[in-house]
Amino acid sequence: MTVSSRTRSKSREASSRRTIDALVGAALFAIAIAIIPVVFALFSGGGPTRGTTTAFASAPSGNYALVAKMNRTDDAIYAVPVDGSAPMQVADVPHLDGFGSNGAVSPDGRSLALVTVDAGSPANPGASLLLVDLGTGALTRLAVGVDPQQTPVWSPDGRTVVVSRLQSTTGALANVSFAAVAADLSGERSLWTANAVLGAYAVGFDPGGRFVAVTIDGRGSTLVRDGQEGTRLSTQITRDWRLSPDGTQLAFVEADVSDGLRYSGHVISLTGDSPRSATQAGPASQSLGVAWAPGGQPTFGQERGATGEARGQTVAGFDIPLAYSSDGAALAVQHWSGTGFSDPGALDMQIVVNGERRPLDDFARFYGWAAR
Amino acid sequence: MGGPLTRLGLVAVVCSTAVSLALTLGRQPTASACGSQRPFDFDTYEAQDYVSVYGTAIQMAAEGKVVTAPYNINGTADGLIDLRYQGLQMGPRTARLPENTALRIPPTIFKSIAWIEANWSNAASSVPYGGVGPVLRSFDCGYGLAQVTSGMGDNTGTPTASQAIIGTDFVFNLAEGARILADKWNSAPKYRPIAGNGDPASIEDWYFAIWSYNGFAFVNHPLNPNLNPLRGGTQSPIYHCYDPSAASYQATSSGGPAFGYGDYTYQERVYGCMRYPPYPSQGATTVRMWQPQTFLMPDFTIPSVAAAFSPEVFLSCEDQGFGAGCTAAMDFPTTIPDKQIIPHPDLTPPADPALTAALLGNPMFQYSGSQNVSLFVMRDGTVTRSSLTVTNVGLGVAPFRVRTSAPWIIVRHDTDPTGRTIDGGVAVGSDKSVVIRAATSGQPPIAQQGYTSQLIITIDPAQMPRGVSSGTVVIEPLFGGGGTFSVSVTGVKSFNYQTVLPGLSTSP
Repeated sequence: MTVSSRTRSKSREASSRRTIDALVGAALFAIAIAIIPVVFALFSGGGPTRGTTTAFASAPSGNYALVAKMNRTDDAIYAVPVDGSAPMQVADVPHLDGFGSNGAVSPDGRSLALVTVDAGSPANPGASLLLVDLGTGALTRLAVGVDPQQTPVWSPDGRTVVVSRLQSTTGALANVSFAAVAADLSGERSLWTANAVLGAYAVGFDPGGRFVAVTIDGRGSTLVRDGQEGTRLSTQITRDWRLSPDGTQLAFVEADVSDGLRYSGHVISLTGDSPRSATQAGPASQSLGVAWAPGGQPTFGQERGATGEARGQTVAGFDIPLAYSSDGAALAVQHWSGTGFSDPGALDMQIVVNGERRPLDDFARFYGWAAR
Repeated sequence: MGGPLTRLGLVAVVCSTAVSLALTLGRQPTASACGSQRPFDFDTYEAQDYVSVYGTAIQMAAEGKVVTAPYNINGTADGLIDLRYQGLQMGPRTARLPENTALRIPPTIFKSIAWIEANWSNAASSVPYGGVGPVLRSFDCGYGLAQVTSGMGDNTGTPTASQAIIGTDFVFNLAEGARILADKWNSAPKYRPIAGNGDPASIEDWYFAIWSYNGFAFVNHPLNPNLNPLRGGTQSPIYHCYDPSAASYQATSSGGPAFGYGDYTYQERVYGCMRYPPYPSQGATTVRMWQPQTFLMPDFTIPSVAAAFSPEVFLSCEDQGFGAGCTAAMDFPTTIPDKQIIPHPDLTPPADPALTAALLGNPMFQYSGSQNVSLFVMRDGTVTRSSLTVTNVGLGVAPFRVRTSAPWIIVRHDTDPTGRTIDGGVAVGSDKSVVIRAATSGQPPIAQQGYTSQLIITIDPAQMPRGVSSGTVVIEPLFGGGGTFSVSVTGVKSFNYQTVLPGLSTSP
């Protein structure tokens, strides 16, 4: 007797059995639908604190820097109170040997989006978009096959995270697509694709909710909003793009190679003006890093001796600003002990609060601020 | 068992679980470089004394001393193995000389590339040093020590002899890697810029060729906006190769590195490990794996160097659509006398050509097993099998190809996962110690002299048509004597075999 004949003979059972069968079947269908995100979440995480409550979940109100100790094969994620009290570990994120994660804190300060290299080989790595619940430490894999090295960008409502993917290459040129990935695992939406570029980088959202990116190609760096090319930022490679808190201005750093490499800060209005130079220092000065104070002006990190705006330059060395806390009370910086970009010296992550410096000992990555 | 709807519900649960698991765990896509078929699966030998053996083999390959003549294993087009070193061009774009096999790749460059690509491992991490097992294969089908990707795609279901020997034998893998690197060098000036005077003896002049070994992509541009400009401690970044004594090692307060492997471009990694060679993980762990080399990285504060890295000139080198190829605009000098900038040679003395014979050995194949087998698919889905052994009664590593005439014929080891299909492997002569069980906590490794590849021939019932089918298995030596071994296979499958879940099969 074949298996199928047994199945057919069983189909002649009583109608009551069919009713039960239908109910059970429907229930199993419901389980099937429900199980997809559950299993996805269960198997996508890697944090030791999954399903528990982190110390950060019950931490007192205040500003917290989200940072990471970068170990060879994992990133230990911590929340560091700005008041100098002890750091609280939130999660541990495994990755390919030598590849630290890049990340961004959600607008509500409850989650951390990470681009983590967790696939491929060292010479040809692959990355995933992970979500870290800062309250539980749970890790959820939101998307796979995203570009390594990029920093993810949250939508203003905190519902989606924008990431890029390399679609194809033709020689040195690439097609890079952007996707908005739902933080609730409900899927992802393709935004647009930058074709025939050297690189394309997510920046943020303008006041009209349009997704802002920068593409780099043979013409230099170009601002793109919702797939529409806008202002040419520079004929050069640019970097460190930061939107002002109200989204109306973009600060960035230009890597000008026309007379030896020089980094200089610039700001443009997203209302259509041409870029204007933001660096007020003399010809000997260079800038790296941008941070916007709430309601204020951009701060560029400048080499020692410059008359720049970076706060906390009363000690030896120079700062590369990373981000202000949402209330503007604290500024996270990379502090370098040397004399300039050609001789930067030793690196320390620090928080500058009211002119005082608090070292972020042992942390190598800064992801953003979370306020409680 | 429940009724049809219950079973359908069960199917949905299982399917949704499978989909979820695939979404979450199956996250290493097979890249297009792997071809249209499944990736080839080879066994290989991982040298016990890998620092010495691989160091020698890498240098021999870089100097073009490994493969000096083409040969054919079966007289057909796919049996040709031609991994001869093509030599290097030399000179600036206005006076470029043709390929010359007397010019070598600086050996330390290729040593560092093999470290960056594969940590000097030819086999997968599950294979101990001194053992035999699956070759190291990346998700995009880069194979072995040199992570050879080019030409390794599977579009026919059977590897060519070249593909098989690159996947099974580290000596030939390195020979092909050296050929690829030489090809990147020789791509200038039409498809690549020229650093310095295009002198292959100058380490600095290899900047673009090294970059190209990982793909001449913008991700490896030194001004890539995703990378920290101060990652190397200067504006001429270089990887520290995890050497805390390296000048470019930025330590956190606990001594860990602030920047890791992933924070550098490919060429910065390769140059970094040339300057700060790693230490071996076993054996003489206090002696660097090769001699550190002295050289200079491009100094981007110098206008003539920096100008070569503008996006405009980078694009001018684009392979497609630019008939003139690379212009001189992306060339940069490596000799700038007024700044005391001069290029540096690799100080590694030339290898003794006689070492080639020791590397390759003198393998001689011998086989045992029936040459006429009948295999059956049983009613419960199980299949019968036949055994076959491949022995090397000579010396060294004996690489072989496995060729089957039909996809339903499977060759693998008895201990392999059911889904594995071996396309090639090795038998090792008794002159070499082979680890057959890795060391465990408190237990030393178990080793023996030589290794016989014990294979089984079996059936994939899902791919086999119903009825009686026939085919062949051919074991072909890729290097060495002893001839081929053919097995005629008759497969019998009297009913369809298709199970979704127990109790949910269909027939007839």
